[in-house]
Amino acid sequence: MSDVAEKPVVETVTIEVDGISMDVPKGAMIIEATDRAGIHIPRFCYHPKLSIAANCRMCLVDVEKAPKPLPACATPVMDGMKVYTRSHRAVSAQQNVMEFLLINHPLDCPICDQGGECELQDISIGHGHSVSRYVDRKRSVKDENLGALISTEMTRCIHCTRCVRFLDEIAGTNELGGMGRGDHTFISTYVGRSIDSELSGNIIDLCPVGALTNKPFRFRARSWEMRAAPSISSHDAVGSNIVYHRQRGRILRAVPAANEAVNENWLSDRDRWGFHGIYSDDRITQPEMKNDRHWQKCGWPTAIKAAADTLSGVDASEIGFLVSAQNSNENLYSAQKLARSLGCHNIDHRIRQIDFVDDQSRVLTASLGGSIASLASADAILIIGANIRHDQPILGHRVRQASHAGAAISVINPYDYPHNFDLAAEVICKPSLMVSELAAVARSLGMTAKGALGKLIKDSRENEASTRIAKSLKSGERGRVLLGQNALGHANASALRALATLICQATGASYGELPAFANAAGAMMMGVLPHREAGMAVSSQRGQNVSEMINGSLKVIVIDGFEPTLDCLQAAGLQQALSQAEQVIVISPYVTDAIREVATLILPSLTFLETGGSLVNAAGQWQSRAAASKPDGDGKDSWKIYKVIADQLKLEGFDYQGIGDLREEISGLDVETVMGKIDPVITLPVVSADNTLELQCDYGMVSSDPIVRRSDHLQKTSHASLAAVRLNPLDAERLGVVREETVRLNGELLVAAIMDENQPEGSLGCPMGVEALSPLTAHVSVAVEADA
Amino acid sequence: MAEIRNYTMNFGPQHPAAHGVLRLVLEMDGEVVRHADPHIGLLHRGTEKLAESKPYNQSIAYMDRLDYVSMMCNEHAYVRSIEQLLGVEAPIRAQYIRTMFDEITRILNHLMWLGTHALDLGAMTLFLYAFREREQLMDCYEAVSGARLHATYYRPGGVYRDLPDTMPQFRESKWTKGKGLKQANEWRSGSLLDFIEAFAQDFPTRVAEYETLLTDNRIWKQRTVGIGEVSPERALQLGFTGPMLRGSGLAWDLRKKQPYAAYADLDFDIPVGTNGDCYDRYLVRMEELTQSNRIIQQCVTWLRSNPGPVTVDNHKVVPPSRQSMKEGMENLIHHFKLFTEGYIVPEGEAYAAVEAPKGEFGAYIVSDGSNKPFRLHLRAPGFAHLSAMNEMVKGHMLADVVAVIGTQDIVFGEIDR
Amino acid sequence: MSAITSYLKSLALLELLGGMRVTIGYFFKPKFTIMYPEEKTPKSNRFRGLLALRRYPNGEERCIACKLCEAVCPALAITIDSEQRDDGTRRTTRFDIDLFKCIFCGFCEESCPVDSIVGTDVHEYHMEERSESVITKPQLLALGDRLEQQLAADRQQDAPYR
Repeated sequence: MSDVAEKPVVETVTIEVDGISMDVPKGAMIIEATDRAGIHIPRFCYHPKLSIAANCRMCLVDVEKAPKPLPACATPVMDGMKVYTRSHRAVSAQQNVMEFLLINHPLDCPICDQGGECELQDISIGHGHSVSRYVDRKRSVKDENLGALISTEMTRCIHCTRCVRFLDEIAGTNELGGMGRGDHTFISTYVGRSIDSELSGNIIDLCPVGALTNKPFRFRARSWEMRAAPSISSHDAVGSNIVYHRQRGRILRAVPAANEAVNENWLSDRDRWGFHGIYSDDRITQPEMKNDRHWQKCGWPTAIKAAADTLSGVDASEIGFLVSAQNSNENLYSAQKLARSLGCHNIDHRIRQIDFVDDQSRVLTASLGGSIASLASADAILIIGANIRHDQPILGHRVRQASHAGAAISVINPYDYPHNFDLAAEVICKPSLMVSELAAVARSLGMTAKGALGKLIKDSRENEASTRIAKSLKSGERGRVLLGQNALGHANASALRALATLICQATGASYGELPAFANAAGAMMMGVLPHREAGMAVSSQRGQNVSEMINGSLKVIVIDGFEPTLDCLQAAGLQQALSQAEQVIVISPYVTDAIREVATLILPSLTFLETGGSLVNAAGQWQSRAAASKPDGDGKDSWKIYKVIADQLKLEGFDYQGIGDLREEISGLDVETVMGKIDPVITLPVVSADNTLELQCDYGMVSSDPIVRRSDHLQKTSHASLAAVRLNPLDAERLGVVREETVRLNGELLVAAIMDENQPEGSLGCPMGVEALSPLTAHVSVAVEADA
Repeated sequence: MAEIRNYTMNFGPQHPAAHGVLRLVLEMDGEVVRHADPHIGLLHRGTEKLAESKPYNQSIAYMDRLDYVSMMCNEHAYVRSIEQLLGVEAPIRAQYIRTMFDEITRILNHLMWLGTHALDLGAMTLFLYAFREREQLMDCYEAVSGARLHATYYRPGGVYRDLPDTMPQFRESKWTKGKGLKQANEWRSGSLLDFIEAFAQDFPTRVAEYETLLTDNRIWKQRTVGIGEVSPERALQLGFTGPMLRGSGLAWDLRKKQPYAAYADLDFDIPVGTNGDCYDRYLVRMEELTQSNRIIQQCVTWLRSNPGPVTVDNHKVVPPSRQSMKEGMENLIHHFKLFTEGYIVPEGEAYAAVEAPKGEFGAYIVSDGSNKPFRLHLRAPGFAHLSAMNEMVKGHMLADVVAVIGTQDIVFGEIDR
Repeated sequence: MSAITSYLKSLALLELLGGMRVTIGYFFKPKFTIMYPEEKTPKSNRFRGLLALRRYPNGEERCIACKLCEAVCPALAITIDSEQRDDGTRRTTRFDIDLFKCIFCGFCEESCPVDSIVGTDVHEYHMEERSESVITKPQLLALGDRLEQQLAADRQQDAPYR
């Protein structure tokens, strides 16, 4: 619909609806015209984002000269057409359709979760008979098992097929279909499968009746007794607009808030059910201090004093701050302000990055290289190292939209992720080869460069895929090169970045990154970087980046908002650094044994659902939110913790009366744009030994941050990361690993292994965010042997 | 000679003759009232504001609690206002039931007034007699609605349920048995209508008794004649309605002037006074008891011979019957939505008034086209009457204040709202 | 003549004696009052007293946590928490009625699709502490169990009218 608004010159025709004359774009359906004019026509199957099915027949209207009432959703407007939506013929047609729809509908309202927000109820009241004439038996339909998130009551289904069309057209998974005919029609999965789409939750919103309902929410509350708390979801870099529904202070469910520029009407399953993680048992409610290996709860004043003493007790250069970019701008800004006020520049948020050599030469951005909506109108997209569907589900949907509009989508991935769009070219190789494969694309484009980069291009070999990718990008006018988590966290990310930038220069495509955390762009702007201050101003003194902090010998490390053993790509190294540090202050809403093992002081903070704040998404949109839920314990927003520590240390510039003052200070920032340099510094891949497999680490959809890992409902889905490494069957055969069993890695670690044909030969897939596998991150490649 | 100054005194809110929570600040010159300043608000419950946050039907129960001595009349004004907005009209049987219960309510109210007014002025016996008859009428309330006072019985589109065919009966006890039991259950052997008819037959003799006790009584006359005189012109200017206005000689009655419910088809007279004093108002109300009884008798006769539906057959407004709700899909949906969201009332405004026992009770509703009133204003007759307190008692003795409060028939539920 | 007549009448205290005749007459008539609490006035089968929750004859609670009563309650006296019971049915985990808020309007009974919440004929009850004003699900069910026969009979009798 928005397309129509964007195009200025549209041929229009004039029609008359209920006596009101209106100009409507030619080819539009009657219902589109009436919707825009605010004339209500009842409907079940019609949805502006889905194709037209015209199978519910609810929108029948009276059109002059037509022999029968016509469905408004499937009747295109014609010049001079006269439509009557409330004439006797239209009204009685609607009433009779409603009666038919209710014939087989069970008398479930009192026990149905949809009751009170049910379109069937609303339209029955507004457009149906008020008394039933049907006396015979009603039919019943067997329920489907659609997995842990969606519960079904298929007898209530009215066969509008919105869910079928959504999974077909938007999610692209075709997981539901209509079976049977006539009275025996039913909606079902294909032979007992569940629905695994990352956008599956949207069919709950689309379902006009109570056939598909929210399973974790089942029977918990009625729509009228909940309060809506609009918020911004922070599980991916899209910042989906979301509304949390809470009853007596507790969030019970989440629904999308429409925002065409961000998430349209959709919400990913991770955003929808992630909030359950804030109610996990391991929330910390009070500060805790370690005294002689024993943990003691203490009050905030004691804890703050201890933190201040710790920070002032060592030289500022021996302190390191690691702050998660899931934090809001306010938290990030305060963290960096405290660090810099102390004289410490060792602050970084890039815990999912390994290769930092190009810090000075790279384009400093966490941006898609254009708006989210514009991704859908790209005509050539190259995705490097990303499972875009799971990493950023809403962006995955936009890429699919682009694909449907004819864009050529290509991928260079270290794992054969299942895509829901057609690929123009697909390169699946082990991680180290991604560099040369990308270099081959540059070579196909005829690019040259100086130094190591030039050699990389020269050494690469053009192949069919690379020429096809090069051709698509070159011929496209609105090309896009996107680097995902496997590229940004790649051991040679600098090389990938440099090559991608070069390709963009050659083809006119725009360069984009898909940052892992919600506020990565904000973190850069707030100056949570060792070499850039707030507003990305060049720092007077360069501090240590994540790798340097991990490999250095800091005496005090502050960790904010992530789990060191699970969220950092160098988890093993970080673990070591933390155990060597004298003092470790962990600011976290959760406390686990792993945190207790390394921390000396734990300060409870809050999750994004319990605090207000602003964020910048990957498209550079600033969005702010208020707290959606009230915290149970005595946790504090981390900017407050930093402020009180600063007050304790008598540092200047922290006299905020509330978050408003802080926000004002942030809004005064002049954010510099940092352009890349001509000669980027890069690292080159090291060829691993023959008998080892390269480690390919990636974060699964539901293990990407501390909150979703605690959402037990998401963990019950098929997306949950298994505590098992993935092996290509050919590798397995070569290494003597017979079937799925335990393997020994590097002669010491015993882990479960599964055979996976999608894992490229020579690599070992390692799901991150899984405690058992995090020691693996100490290695680039590992020797694998069957456990005898 | 020392100068004598007026002094002020509080009359109420704890005074037994203050009828609830009236606080009168009286400026006295000895025993003579120079100025009376009524203070209101001690029973303010925000009914009008509360109604804005609830679907229309849910506020019916709050209407009972306005003038809590004439419950169904308040409901009547409110539901009529909603009916006007919705454009529905209650079936004829419901109109007759409403008329009958409005009149039962009038008798209830006047008996309450009579008993307390007489008690305030020193006649204790009548209070007990009046409450004896009230007891019978409250049994009628209970029989139709299940509640003796706060009935919640009228609904937009009719009344909740038809009149029952049985009346509950006394059970045998140590004290009531044999002939006594038979006598106690004499009126209760048939339907509610039989009971009401028996009551109506008996009631004129009761009224005669009250009159014997008061009308010619010299003390009563001394306390009421010439007290609180209001001229017809002033009564109009002060916004008086009901017996307060008719006591001054103006034959204004909404039941005649703007007939609603079944009043147009019924035969009754409007009594008026001549002097506009407490005694005339007493006489007017006593006659109204008789006239109401007449109306009740006519309604009973009509209702006996005209069975039929008591709610409109429009389930977009009135929930379907329980049995059909359990059997039909549409019925269940309508039941569900009506009890959760209520019905949508078209945008607009409406004012409907009834002749309540105390005067014109009206409900003004502004609808913004949603399921809750945008604004509800209640026109309570007592408010205008109380406003005239100063004028009515000025120059009278302190003891006459009690007579005036009594004659005004003040109930704070409706004044404070 | 009227002045003289009325003077004489007045002198003879006729109107006072007439009043006394009425009151003395009642002295010899049977009493209208009853010996409460041993004796009680009859109660209508529509009486709306203390609320209770009913069960089906097989012992299963009727309430299905549809929350219509909670929604319709003008005084917001009802608080319900619900969830899925182990057998998959929709049930309440909490059903509180605050008797200080309840205005006994009977809307809850009207709204209940399964005849679970009902107004009993109990109008005499007391509590010794403020907190006891909130009656909980077990109390409501116990009351329903105790009065089930009467409740069922009353509803049966009133069914044609509803």
